[in-house]
Amino acid sequence: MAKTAKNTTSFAPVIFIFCFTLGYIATGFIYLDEESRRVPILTGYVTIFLLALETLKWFIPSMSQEPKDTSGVDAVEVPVSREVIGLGYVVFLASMIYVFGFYVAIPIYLFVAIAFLGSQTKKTAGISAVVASIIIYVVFELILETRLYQGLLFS
Amino acid sequence: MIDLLLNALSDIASVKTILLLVLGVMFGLVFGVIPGLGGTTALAILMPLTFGMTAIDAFAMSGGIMGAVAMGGAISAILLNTPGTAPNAATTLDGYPLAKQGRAAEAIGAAATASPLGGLFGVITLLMVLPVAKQLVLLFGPPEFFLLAVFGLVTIALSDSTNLLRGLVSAGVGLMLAFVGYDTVTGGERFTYGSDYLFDGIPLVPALVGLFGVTEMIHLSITGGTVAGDASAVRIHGVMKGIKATLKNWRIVIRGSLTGTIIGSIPGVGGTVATFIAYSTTKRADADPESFGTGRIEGVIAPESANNAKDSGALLPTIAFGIPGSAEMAVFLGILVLHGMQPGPTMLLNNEREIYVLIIALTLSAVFSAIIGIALVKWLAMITLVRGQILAPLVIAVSLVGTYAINSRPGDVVIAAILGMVGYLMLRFNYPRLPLVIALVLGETAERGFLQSMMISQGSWGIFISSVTSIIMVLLILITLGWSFIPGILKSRRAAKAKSD
Repeated sequence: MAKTAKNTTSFAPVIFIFCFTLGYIATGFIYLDEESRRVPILTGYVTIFLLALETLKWFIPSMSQEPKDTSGVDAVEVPVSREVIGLGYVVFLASMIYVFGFYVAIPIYLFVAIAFLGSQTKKTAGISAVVASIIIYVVFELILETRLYQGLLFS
Repeated sequence: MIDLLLNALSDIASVKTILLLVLGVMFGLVFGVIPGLGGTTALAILMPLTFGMTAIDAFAMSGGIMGAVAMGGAISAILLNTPGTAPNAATTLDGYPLAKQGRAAEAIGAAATASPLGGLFGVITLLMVLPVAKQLVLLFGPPEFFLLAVFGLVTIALSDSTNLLRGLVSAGVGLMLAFVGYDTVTGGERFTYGSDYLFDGIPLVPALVGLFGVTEMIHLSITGGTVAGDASAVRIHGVMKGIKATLKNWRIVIRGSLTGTIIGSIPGVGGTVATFIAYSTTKRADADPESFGTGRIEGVIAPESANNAKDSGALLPTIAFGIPGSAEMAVFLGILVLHGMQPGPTMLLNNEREIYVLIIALTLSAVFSAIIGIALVKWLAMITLVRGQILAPLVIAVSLVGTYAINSRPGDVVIAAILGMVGYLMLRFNYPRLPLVIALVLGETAERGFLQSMMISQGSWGIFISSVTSIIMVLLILITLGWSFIPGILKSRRAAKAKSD
């Protein structure tokens, strides 16, 4: 069945956004003139105010709201380790593209992701990786005439 | 208007453009059938591929997708009891019981007829409203544009009643990101930390591909699974019965289409609300409301006519005011920008030809998707058997290649990947992504409108209530805020009082 990851409530996003906003405001004050920073800094202050209200929800139960219903799909508890691995694959792909270029990164990424994250046989993963890479080459290099990035190492 | 329509028809009537439209329809059907993907993801993934095309071809393909997703979603809603897209959820209520009674083909026939009829109704309404909107936007100056951007942001940020504060926080972060890069008012450079890449700001297309396309695929690869295992048992006999039932129930089609068009044009409300309202009004108006949910064909006709009509409604604020009312429209707005158009009054005045091409494309795609959808229903249902963990890496790879292909900048790949991960975390921690995207789109308009207004008024805030239009806008913002927060506050007070009693 189609599934969705169960929503989680945590302080982490509030802390992260708060730090990001503080850094943003500090950059505005240090590097920008008064006119340029006027609206961005105002936005930063408003965001901090909203974060403060969001934090208050943790201490005043009546302010809390029911989590969103994802109708039509089953909400499942996904292990954090699986999420980290899922996100790690994207980091792996982006880094590989940056360093080695698309033609090295894509077949390797597809093979690894389909074989290990997708739990498929190495044969299925290999065929999928090769076929997809050929299709990407034909569509982008031959039909759309776009020269794909060769990576820091080869360009 | 007739001249413009005829010109648009001649623009679209080339073999290449029609083929692209059909390709868009196929793409839309496939993405509509697979739950969790939908029109937004389809458009986000396809957006980079339209870069090499003319605006007309790109609009034909995008129109094909937008018109076909609803039909694709209806197929899985009826056959598998799993809505392909969120607005199709209302179709499952009677569509699936019909399928269980062996009347799946009748339900699909009804959906395939109601959907294009709804689309057609929405398009006609859009054609009638566009000239009025054209006059209306001429009344807008810098203060009105600022207020309009704030109104758009507030409406969308507060559209999810369970996440009011998080929606606003998300919009705040989006605005902060929108201010990165070249300052169009003062000419300075902001928040680039010396990076040349960020001089033009956070690029919209990689951001959209990341936040919608990549995010959904990360989610799919992590959660995995397939939709259903019994798709091969689909028998398609009796489609005509469904078509006849729809034509017989023309009043339900009109009511559903009108609901879809009106609700679709309100930013942030969304297609799901439109289809459920269309369903419930039809149920209430029926002589035997209790029988709904047990397999009434009217329960398929009403939401499906609303589902396709909502797209035309949602196009209005996107084209006329540059305020995308939904995630799908936000991505479509990215396609407009990619092809050198500036959604808002200038587009309404200077790009009428392209607007009419889009209208024709939406109309044709609604018809094509119904025909192709019925013809390929069995195969489309089979797509739902593909494992998400195989599909997701393929789509992520194609999305990143497509993102790079637009400007040949490796940085775009990095932005799409980073925002894809940020989008997943937002999904996980229940922070809506749409306000962030809308803020990214509207940030510059809002800031320019604000600073220009302040320059005109020499620093006086009174300029924001100096015309009838701006007063209406201020009232709309206040009403939206009040409408969202006051019921919650009253509810908590009542709960606190009840507890103390």
